[in-house]
Amino acid sequence: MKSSTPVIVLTFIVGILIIAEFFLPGLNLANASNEVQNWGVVIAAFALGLAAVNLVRIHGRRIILRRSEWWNSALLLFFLFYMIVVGIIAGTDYIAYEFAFQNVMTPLGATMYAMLSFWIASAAYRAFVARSIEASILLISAAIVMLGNAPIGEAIWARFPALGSWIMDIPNTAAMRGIMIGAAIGAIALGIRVMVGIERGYLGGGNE
Amino acid sequence: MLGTVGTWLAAIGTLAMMSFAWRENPFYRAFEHIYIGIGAGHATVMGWQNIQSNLIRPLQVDRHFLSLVPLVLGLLLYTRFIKGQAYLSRYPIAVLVGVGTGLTLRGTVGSQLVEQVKATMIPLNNINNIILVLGTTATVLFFYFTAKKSNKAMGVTSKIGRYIMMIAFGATFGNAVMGRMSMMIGRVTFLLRDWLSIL
Repeated sequence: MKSSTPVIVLTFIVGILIIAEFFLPGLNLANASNEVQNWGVVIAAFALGLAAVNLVRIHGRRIILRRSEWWNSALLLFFLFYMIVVGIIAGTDYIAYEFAFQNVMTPLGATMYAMLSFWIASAAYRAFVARSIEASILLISAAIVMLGNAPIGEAIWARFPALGSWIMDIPNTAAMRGIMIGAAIGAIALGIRVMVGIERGYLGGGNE
Repeated sequence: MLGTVGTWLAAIGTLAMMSFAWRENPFYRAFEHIYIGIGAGHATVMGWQNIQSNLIRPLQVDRHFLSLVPLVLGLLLYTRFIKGQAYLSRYPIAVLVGVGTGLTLRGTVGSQLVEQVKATMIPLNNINNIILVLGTTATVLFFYFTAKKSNKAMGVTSKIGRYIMMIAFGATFGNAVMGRMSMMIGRVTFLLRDWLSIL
């Protein structure tokens, strides 16, 4: 049974069940579709455990072999087990869990995203050179939206916020809608290719 | 007391993450690993809670024995670690891909295609509506590559589409910059007000 055919057939059956339930309500497939969707939630939860096991394997090996900066791996594993043990035994409302979540995970995540402002500024410096009509339009549009969102923009010209909002509401909506329609057609095509087994990328990775 | 320790911990972590702007350094790498550890642990706990509510409870309370199927499929994922049996992990992945594809297809057709096309069918009675309709049409035609070289009208329309998209990308970029900047202001405010009590 190492052939990929049963796997493709299973993908097709599950996919078609969910699609048929939506487009053919007369078939009364809601219960079966909800059951299968619930399976998906449970399998995804097991996959999170698989990710944790992978982390333990990779970083455990780094510690055992005393690879460079192995202590960072030890830190990672310590906090991984800390969260898992406290979260599963005591629950996510327990003070020790909330302490780590609020004082480590939240500020570190926020800072990591905030740090992107430096790289965005650097990217802006390179992108916002008015070499062509397209680059000039990009530059002007971004400048207006930024000035519209910052207090200094309103101080320079009172109508900057309104102009920024207009760009977001009209031309931005038009372009995003066009992109969304194009992406939807692409997603439908890809979905059909996956379901009929033309696209088999997801089958890779399992060494046989 | 615990609040003070938490603030100090958050401040040290914030400084460690910010130190990456200077260069990658051991202080940053240590907190990067701590962040990944806590993040992965939190995700695992969330997964466990999902298993509890969608698998264990229906089995124990409702005697819903069909829930044994995802249990078996979920465990099959771990055959990736067993030499010669790794192919079995493809079955749960097939279910996941099937569910994902089915939900994407029906969601895409509804919200992304039909609803967006419907929203574009508006009367051309003011300049905003005209820009919306022409902009959307031109952007869609930009992605139609087949007839572009041979058809002049298509070439002009797709050029308009490109300009409209540049306005949108500029606006999105501007919004992203402002969003990141406000986050950075938030972190600096935390350091100066909550930690150092300067502000």
